[in-house]
Amino acid sequence: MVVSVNVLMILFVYFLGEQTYVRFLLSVVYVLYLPGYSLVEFITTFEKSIKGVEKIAYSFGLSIVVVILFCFLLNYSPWGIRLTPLIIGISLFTMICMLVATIRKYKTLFKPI
Amino acid sequence: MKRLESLTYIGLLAVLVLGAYIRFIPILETGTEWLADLDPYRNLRAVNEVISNCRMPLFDNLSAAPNGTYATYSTSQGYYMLSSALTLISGSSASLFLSFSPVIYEVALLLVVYVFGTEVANSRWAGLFAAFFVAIPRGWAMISLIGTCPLAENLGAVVFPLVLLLFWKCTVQKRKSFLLFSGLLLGISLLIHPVTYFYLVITIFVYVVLMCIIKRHGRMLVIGLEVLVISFFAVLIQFFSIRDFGYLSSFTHGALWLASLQPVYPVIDFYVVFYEVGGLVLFLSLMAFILVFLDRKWNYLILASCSIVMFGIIAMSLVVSLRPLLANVPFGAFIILSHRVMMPYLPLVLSLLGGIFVAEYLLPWVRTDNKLKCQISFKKAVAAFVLIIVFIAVSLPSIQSSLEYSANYKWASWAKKYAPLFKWAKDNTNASDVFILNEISLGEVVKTIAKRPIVFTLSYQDLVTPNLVKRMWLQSSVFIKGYDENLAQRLLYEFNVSYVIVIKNQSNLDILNKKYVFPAPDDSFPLYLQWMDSKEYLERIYSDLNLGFYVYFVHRDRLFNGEISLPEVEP
Repeated sequence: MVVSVNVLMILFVYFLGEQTYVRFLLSVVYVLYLPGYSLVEFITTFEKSIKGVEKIAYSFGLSIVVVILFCFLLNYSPWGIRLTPLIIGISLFTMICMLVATIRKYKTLFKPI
Repeated sequence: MKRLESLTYIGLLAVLVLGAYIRFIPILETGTEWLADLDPYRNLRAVNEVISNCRMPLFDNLSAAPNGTYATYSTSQGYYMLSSALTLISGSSASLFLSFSPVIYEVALLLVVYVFGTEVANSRWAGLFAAFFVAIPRGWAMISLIGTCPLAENLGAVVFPLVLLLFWKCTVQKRKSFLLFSGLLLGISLLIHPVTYFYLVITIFVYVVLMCIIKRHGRMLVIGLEVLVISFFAVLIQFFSIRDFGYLSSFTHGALWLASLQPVYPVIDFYVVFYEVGGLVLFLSLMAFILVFLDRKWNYLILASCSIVMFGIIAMSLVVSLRPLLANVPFGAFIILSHRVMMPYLPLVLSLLGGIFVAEYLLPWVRTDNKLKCQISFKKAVAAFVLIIVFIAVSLPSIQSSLEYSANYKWASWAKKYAPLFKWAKDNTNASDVFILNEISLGEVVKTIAKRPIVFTLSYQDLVTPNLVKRMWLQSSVFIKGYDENLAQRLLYEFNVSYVIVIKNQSNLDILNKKYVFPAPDDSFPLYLQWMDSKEYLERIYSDLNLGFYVYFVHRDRLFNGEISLPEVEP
């Protein structure tokens, strides 16, 4: 899901380009849900009790934290708050978090008893 | 029984659709080009600035606060940045995203409230009822926070219960992994909306103290301090981005003035709480509050603490003699302007308490941890069903009222009505020309659409100006009969005002009597216009009789510019 939303977002932003309601909805998920979701996935490798609607609520909260802090970083960086640094930053963050979470989950799964 | 529990998901979906639809009505009525309230135009201006400059602006050139004071865009920077990021990535206009933001944040809020109720009461019904009560607000809660206009409070409303829930998990469930999360989110609340941070910190403080006293659990104090220390990163960010907290005292002074003008809109009393929260939720939450202490349900103490704080703020704001003292305290403005607690911190907490009471005491057989759950009788199932239907039936007037409120919320169409005025100002005047309007709130729209400075508005940015009282004198003396004409001319000269705009039948500020007045009701408006026309330093240059606005050019060379002393008035 994370990979496909990332790919779709990049497609919409750089190749399809137009302002559509699909892009609008996708960007809401991409900014307000995905960063937090990937972080929650990472956290659930330690804290297994988070699930269901609770996961959605925490994903939203953590997304706000991640995106706002990232915007503050960009604000004081030479790049500023622009489209490309935002896309690169959010995509990289979500992919890395998911990768680490997946590796940790597989390690736990195949742990020798 | 499992089936009964799964029913809550259908209920949640219905509540989400209802809540989102109520917020969607203004978009259906006026589209996305015009925002559903006047204050959010400041947010729109800030987001547009971030997008065009790729940086957070240090100050707003159009605000009344002097440039370089760092005061004008100092708060809610996190909200502006998040909105800018969403606008950039969605490829839409800032007004499109801001128009939709109440719908988006409403869905998030209802989900958070549902999770909060479910986790704290260990019953999905508690979450569902709480979310239902939150979805149908009235008054202040409807207007601003979770309501129909895109303000920073929208986002602050979502963060508020989330921080409380996470902090509760740290303390009651002893889940250490949530400590960092709650601290980070608490800090972010400062960057989104300082009021949210202020209320959260006080609530956490009161909760920790109560837990220490009741449960004699000193560890609570340490957890509270740890969360506060983690959130300190935001205080540092805020400090380094504005480098000056001096504006806080200016704001409290402005708040004192707002609270002294009759009728006092931003100071609420308990009747307003009763009207806006509704008798049903108030009764249910009161029962839950009593039972927290009688039944020693310390799980719900965090909600009880929050309601104590909120009611305490309302009580303090009602003591007029206390206000000057509060005006000298940092963040004292958030106590003086007690309407803030309705936007919607208090309604949220009361809804949660109400939802918990329903699930805990009225529907005990649907609790997941109840031993009776496998032996639910037909009679009890019918009773539960009837009870739910009764709650929905009792809430029908509230649903109707929320739908009507949203549909009749006039600001978007009202601002849209004056589009020709904004266009004229943009096309026919210079960017540096200063305007004054008899309608105070419309100034924000003029600043954003026409991009012209306004002498006085009631927005936060303009209240922090050091010469606030002088501007209020100007606002009153130009438009209200009976004021010293020399005073009006001297102040017009001093503030370099180029255009005076009169809007038909609008209220204005009367500083001498400390109240809002209608200087020219419909029947006497022609006489009022004659009075304005008779002023030799004003020349009517543009008007629209149908829309009811009149623009006067100020001949600076005809203004009295001698020395004049302002009469002494105190808030």
